[in-house]
Amino acid sequence: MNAIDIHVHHRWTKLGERPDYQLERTRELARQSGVDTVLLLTGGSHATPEQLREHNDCTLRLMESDPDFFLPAMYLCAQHGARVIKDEARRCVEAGMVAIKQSSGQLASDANMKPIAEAAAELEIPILFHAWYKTVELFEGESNGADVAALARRHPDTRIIMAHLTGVGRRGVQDVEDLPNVYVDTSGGWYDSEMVEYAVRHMGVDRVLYGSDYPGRDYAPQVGRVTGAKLSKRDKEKILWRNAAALLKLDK
Amino acid sequence: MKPNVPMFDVNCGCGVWPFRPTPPADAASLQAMLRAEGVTRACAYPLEAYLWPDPQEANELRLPQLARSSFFVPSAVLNPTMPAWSKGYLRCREKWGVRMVRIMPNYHLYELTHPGVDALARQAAADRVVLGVLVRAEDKRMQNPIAKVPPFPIDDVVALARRHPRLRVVVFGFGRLWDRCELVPPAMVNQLQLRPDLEKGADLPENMWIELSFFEHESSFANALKLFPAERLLFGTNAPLFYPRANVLKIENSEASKRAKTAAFRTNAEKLLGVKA
Repeated sequence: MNAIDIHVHHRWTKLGERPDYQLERTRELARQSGVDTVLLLTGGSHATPEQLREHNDCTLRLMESDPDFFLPAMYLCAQHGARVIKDEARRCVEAGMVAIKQSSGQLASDANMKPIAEAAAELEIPILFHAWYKTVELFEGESNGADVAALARRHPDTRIIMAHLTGVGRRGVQDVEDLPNVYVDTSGGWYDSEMVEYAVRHMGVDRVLYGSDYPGRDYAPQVGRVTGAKLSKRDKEKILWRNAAALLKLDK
Repeated sequence: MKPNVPMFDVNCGCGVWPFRPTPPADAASLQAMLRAEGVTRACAYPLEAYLWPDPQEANELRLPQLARSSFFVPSAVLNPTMPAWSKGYLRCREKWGVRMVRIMPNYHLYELTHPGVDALARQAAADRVVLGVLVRAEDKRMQNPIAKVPPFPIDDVVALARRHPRLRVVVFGFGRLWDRCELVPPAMVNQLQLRPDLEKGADLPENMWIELSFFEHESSFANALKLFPAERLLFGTNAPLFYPRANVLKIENSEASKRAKTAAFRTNAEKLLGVKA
């Protein structure tokens, strides 16, 4: 199947403490479900610039260990200021990183996102942004679809992947459906039927990307929500890998 | 790719789900959808039973359709705090041969310590009827804000099973392991990805089964096998609320043995319900 999973986390943040068993499972389990490339995400909302650099270095070491499988995404922290952000973004891209991750601690609509959004546009890489519409258990500073839409409107040259299709739901899809610089990944909780078809109807198939949210979730059923959707084979291929390959400029 | 084995889906709903579109709503279309995924038999219940004031009316609506097809094993939903629950129980047994009764304590707002629950448990145990207890039907974070239904505590189901050792109990909707519970304490959850050798880590009562449609944790089926005996795990799709293929692949793509997969897909349900897949 050769799927590209746009939403895979790793938890290696200290260079001297590499969790080999977990990392090997990240790869083995993906391949069992037909996923042969993953966008590897790290965190760092509250990290210092030095800590964040180490997080990003861990991700880069993983890329070096298997560059065909691990596509690295950097984490950038809006509180670090424009100079630090742009220097780290350039360093990471020069080392081979292909995307930026922003997690639940950063509000997408906050004005402090400007340097990260500008760096993404200048370096021609997308931002994968955590987003959710929750009725309970909302995280502090957690973005929803409207926050992602606000960022996308302010920065039309920045491409944004709104994470968690099922999490943002129908409201989230409508928030971004008229914004061509916003994509959505199929992750977010369990495998609610009809949701992938809804996103395709409203956003167009070219802006929907397969993502699992592994290891909090499991590759196999997350793949199943795409392959089990009522879509053409061609549309499923686009969601599973063609759209991600185009967005990340992969030769696949 | 469909698994090349018969598959017995113990958890699908027939009818109209009130909170979002979940076609198909009729038994024939549900059967066609499940068959397309390789399911060969399904234990189905009426979806309307979640919110209708008397779930027996939902049984009356859907069980006749389900009982007409040999593909389905009809399952009734009862509220044992209702004064006339036992009449509904008898009617579902006699009219549609129900082998499994489900209760939904978090949707029907009662505790498992209610005397009606124990009365139903005694009756079901005497009749060799399986009791299904639903602990979750949706992701609580995205529920309709006017209808927030928190997951029901699995430890209460464990206590019910221990009170009625002759009753066979299936838990539906057990899912996220970081929902705090004594059955799978947090320290054990943290071991799942680190200890390939972990076996039967949870102290599951011998008369209790776990249905897997909501169970998701990294390599879900393999991790379920680290917690529970293979003969207590049951394949369920939660269709039409979920894409059925998700739960087919959850088991099929896992690194578990073929024997464990076959048990979950088919033989455990066959033994429990006394019908072939």
